[in-house]
Amino acid sequence: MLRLWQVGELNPRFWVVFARYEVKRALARKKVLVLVAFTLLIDVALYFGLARVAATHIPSTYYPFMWVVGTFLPQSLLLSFVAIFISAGAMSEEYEQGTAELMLSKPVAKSDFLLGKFFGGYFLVFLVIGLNALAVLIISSILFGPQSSIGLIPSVILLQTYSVLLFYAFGFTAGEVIRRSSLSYIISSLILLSSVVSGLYLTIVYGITGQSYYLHLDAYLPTTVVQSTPIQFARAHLSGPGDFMLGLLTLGSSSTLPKFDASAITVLVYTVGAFFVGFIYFHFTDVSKRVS
Amino acid sequence: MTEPVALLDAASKRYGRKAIGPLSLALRRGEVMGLLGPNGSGKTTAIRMLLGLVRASSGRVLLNGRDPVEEHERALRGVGYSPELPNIQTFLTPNELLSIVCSELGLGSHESLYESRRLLEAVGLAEYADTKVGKLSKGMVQRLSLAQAMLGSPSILILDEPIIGVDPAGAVHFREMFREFAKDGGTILLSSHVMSEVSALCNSATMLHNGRVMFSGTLDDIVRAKLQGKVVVVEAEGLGEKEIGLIRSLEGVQEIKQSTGTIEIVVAPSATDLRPEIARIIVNSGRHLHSIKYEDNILERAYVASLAGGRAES
Repeated sequence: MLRLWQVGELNPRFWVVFARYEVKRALARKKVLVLVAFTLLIDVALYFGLARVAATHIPSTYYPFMWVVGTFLPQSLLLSFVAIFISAGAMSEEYEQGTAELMLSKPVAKSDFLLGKFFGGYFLVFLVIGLNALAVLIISSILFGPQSSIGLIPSVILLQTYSVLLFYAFGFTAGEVIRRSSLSYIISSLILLSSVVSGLYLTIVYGITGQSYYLHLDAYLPTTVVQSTPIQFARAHLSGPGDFMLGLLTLGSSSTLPKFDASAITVLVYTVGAFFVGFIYFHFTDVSKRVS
Repeated sequence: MTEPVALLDAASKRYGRKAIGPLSLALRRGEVMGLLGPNGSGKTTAIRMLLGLVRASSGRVLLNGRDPVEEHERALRGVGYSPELPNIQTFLTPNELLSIVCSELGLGSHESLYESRRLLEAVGLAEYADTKVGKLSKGMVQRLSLAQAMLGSPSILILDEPIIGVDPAGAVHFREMFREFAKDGGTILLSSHVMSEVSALCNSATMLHNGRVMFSGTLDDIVRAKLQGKVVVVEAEGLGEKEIGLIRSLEGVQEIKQSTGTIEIVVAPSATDLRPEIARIIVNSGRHLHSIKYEDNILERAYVASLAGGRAES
């Protein structure tokens, strides 16, 4: 057991208990399942669409790297939305339904409850990303034949899971601080969309002015670092058609994406900062009674 | 006197402009205390402060001798809590909920299975062990809440309106369970606005009104402090002036109120039990005695008397 100032005795055994509870809780919510099904449906639709135009428009040299399309295309937006939908309800729904009270009236440190739920939801995000990658691999193999460089996929899954931790932490903290699930989803999603729009705006301004200052700013936007962490890793290991496809997926901006190390560190800084706010807020505020 | 296992020492909680407290309450081992008061009087806030779910704005709160906010896990050891209108995740089954609570209490898997089965049987939910909570009735959820509170053989039970929604047979069964628990040395803090329930179960009571303690003490103390005396209610046929006069002459009798077929005899709180003597007078005079008992809404009268007095203790 770990004793931390003002936090109580942390007991990782309880993290497992609450993580399992959180996975079960999140899966019981239909909206998470719908979003996951939607993500997979997009994969299927995307590949069937590609398969229809493949014979006439896609050179066969690209076929072994078709997994790249489905793996990276949904990542920056859809997977971040999935992360937000799983995390924003983790605490807020407990307050809305009044269920936190019963769980926290037992001899466990409040922090164990919070951490267990955080890890449980995050594990679910990992499963969704893994499922997405697996679905992509299977569909691309069926429609375009054997795929190349698939040894990279486990690392890409881990890096995607790592990078969406940023929005996962945003959603989790929003849920804890706001304590209303709908408002937490909206605010977290607005941060995500604002970051996308700001990135586009900065890129356009850079294109007009040529001033690298705008690119530097873009490099610190949440969506930019979430996108660039796994992409920069993949670019370092893919060449030829695979690398070309990655370039297409980033709308040609892959050369201006921040480097892998910088992205990974920025993801970590955002995540730790967001989680810290939620953790402190949770620790120093009351456990609300049912709020809806 | 032993150290209290649960203590509110001038504890208050502010919710914006509204404040609950300062409240003082000391629950000692083996005591069965009723926490009384109308809705919004501060009963649930007092309990939530004791459980460390809300932080007191001022004053001192101790559970098992520890601050329940700062030392949550230690303070809550051996404490079972059943909330008012329990909100339990609807996707869980009773078995699953109890399994989670057992894990929180650190029970092993074997013990956890045994305890869950035992308590589900005790609260009459054994056949619903694998039914989703969402499909259970309100009364059944209340039963489940009591089962989870009693997991791990706690020494202190904190029960917030535990009988709400439970059918009459269940209510009788639960009162018996609580009596057994208390008989085995358990401590209970029972919050209720049903005063007859508290007077049937508890040996002491704290009454709240508008976030303040109106009075606190043993039921006898309350009667002594707040009422003129205890009331003996007699149902008898044809009582005349002679019998009434004999009863009036008994030591401790303060006042007699008569209505058709019933007399209410106000007896000094310090008087010995006069019921056998009163019964003897009625029977010896050849009258038919139907019943003789102490008034059972004594706490309600004490509460009304306190309100009329308008005094609050801190």
